[in-house]
Amino acid sequence: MTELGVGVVRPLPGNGLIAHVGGLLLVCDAADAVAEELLAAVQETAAAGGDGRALARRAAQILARSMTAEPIACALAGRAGGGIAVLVSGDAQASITGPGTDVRLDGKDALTWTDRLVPGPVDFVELRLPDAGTPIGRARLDAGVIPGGGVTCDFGQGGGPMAGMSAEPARGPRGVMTSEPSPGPAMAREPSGPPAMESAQARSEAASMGHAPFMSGPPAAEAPRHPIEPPPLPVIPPPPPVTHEPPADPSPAPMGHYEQSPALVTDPDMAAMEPPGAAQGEAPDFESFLLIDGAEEQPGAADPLMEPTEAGPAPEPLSRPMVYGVDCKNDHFNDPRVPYCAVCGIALVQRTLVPYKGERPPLGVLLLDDGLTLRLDSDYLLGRDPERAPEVTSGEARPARVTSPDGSVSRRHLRVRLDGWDVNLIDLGSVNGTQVQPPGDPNFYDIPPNEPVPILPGTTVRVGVSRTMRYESHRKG
Amino acid sequence: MEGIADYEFVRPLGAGNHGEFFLARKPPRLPVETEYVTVKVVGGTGQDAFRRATRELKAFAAVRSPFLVTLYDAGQQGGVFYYSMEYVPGGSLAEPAERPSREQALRAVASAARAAQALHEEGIVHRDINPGNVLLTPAGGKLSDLGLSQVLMPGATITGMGGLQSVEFTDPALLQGEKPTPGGDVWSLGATLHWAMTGQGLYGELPTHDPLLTLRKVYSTPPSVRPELEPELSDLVASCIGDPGKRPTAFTLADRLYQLAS
Repeated sequence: MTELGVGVVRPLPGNGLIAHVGGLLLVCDAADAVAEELLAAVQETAAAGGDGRALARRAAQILARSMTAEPIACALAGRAGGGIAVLVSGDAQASITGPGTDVRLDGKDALTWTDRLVPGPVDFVELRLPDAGTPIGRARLDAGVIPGGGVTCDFGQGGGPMAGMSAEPARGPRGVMTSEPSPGPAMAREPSGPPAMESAQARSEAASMGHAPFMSGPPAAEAPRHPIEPPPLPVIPPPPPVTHEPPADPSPAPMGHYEQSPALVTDPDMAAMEPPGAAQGEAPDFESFLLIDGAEEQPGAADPLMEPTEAGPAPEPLSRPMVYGVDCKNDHFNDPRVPYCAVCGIALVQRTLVPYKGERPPLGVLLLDDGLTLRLDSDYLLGRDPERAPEVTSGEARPARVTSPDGSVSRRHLRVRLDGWDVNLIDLGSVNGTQVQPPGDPNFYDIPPNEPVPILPGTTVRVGVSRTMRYESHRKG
Repeated sequence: MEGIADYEFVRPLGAGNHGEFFLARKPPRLPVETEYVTVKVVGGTGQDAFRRATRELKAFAAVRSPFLVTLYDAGQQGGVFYYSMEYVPGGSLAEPAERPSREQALRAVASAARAAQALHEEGIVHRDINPGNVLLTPAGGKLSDLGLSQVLMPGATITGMGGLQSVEFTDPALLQGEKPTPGGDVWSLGATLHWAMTGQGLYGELPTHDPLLTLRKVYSTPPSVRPELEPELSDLVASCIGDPGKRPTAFTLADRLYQLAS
């Protein structure tokens, strides 16, 4: 068994988007907002060496960040050593077949997404959306991004004319566990499991794969068309038992590292948190912190959890800004412009009041149509991808992720800015704009970009095309 | 969903605030004597949110009380956050395995109040006490879970990542933007008691199909105690949801409930 070549890729007609870049395959719903991100992930992963696991990991991050109600329909696949790493999500399917291998995955089976590392040998991969048709004659997709409903890749047909893809030797940090290439195929191969690999077996298979030198064969271009007779498989030790510190053991940090399959989806940040000595590139599949007796704070133990996070040790202790206001008879601090106390409703006008500077109370909440409720004691940045916005990284505003199935919410869409006692909206030049419906007015009005617009309690705000929110406050304007 | 991390799911146990519960087999690595555990799966979170949430849970887990559900571990896989805890076969007040008697229900809420008291003594506010989090045990009950909206999404009192079941059990002051307080937990205990005794919320029927309408109704309707509730309990609920300065503590509430149960 040798490393897989590129194979012949054929498009299936349909209404989605399909891509083939450097042996990596993608099928997704073109209308989805994340299509461009997935495409970028394919291109960047291909440029970095084209490892299928890296692709699946990146795709998982994109999917995890996207919090749309409907799962995103997509399927991705790429070579991972002698096998195939595949990920499916939403209304999409993947099948991977080969001698003794018949893995069929349906994205609808999982709440989030499904990913697998399918050990070789693999002859044929098919990714499809529900509307995918049948292959058209000899149509093929040697490389590129085109409309379509699915894609097949036939490794049995070899990669001869596809040299454009595979002529370059594999680059990048692809040797996983070995420092020098071993002379031959070195795929750990257990007897293939039943069609849908069930967790335990899949885990043990991939766990042993995890200890095999993955990418040690000759570069793809030199791979012979037909598999050469494999030398005897190296003896692979059985997957290590799940190791973890017994809770009585005080020394190690209470963090479990596991090497179970599907060893695909791991936040790269997690790898950075691994203790030294963990195999490079073998990021743990999941991480776990014990919360039971004995796993508590161990003095001196390095506990990454207790280190301050980027957002500070806790989200709460933002000091409240000072504003000028007046007290009602019951000492409730109020906007000096309002006639009645916002808390107890008592009239303020009859009192001779001198405004003084005090801590601003929360100005109410923003209610989004999915129930998200944001407390207005801080600025917010609303958008599809708010975490990386400069307003957020600088600490001026909290991120609030708002997505929509039609993709009409921009990455940085809207800033909610509190000025004194006022709530202002600033559309950040979003593609689909922001509209407001003042209380008691049946109409929505576009707000100009990059200009603060004050809103009153009871205002409904449309973010993009299909998301709405409302500013609620017991403090009536 | 078949599982997460090394948990193998047996069946779903229903939705909670910002996540879903599953019955799962205990993986061998967990040093506890039990066959089954409950796993709560929360939607995708960022790295910071994961750390904050795990810290919160760790603080929760450190509180010793026979009335608090034991937490086992918290973790993440592929950006999906989960945590596991003791499985209580009796179900919750919201979905009991067997319908509890009046006395059992009172004891369950009393136990939850004891648990809240233990949290309050450690400076922790639960923030999400509702009938789904009050679990039924032969001895009375246990308080489960912890409101994590705040840590999952800073500034959020509700994340929109799950059902809105707990809105009608949340102190309106919290919904209006005030910070969580022990008195807010007492409000929730009062609302939970009211629901357990009457089968009704303090706002009447809510249009639960539409989050925005539900919240509108909760915002615009003052909470009210049903007239059919027996007088002692009615007074008790009214005091829990009344003026924050005059609310009983969780401790006092528990004592009063134990009295009424016997």
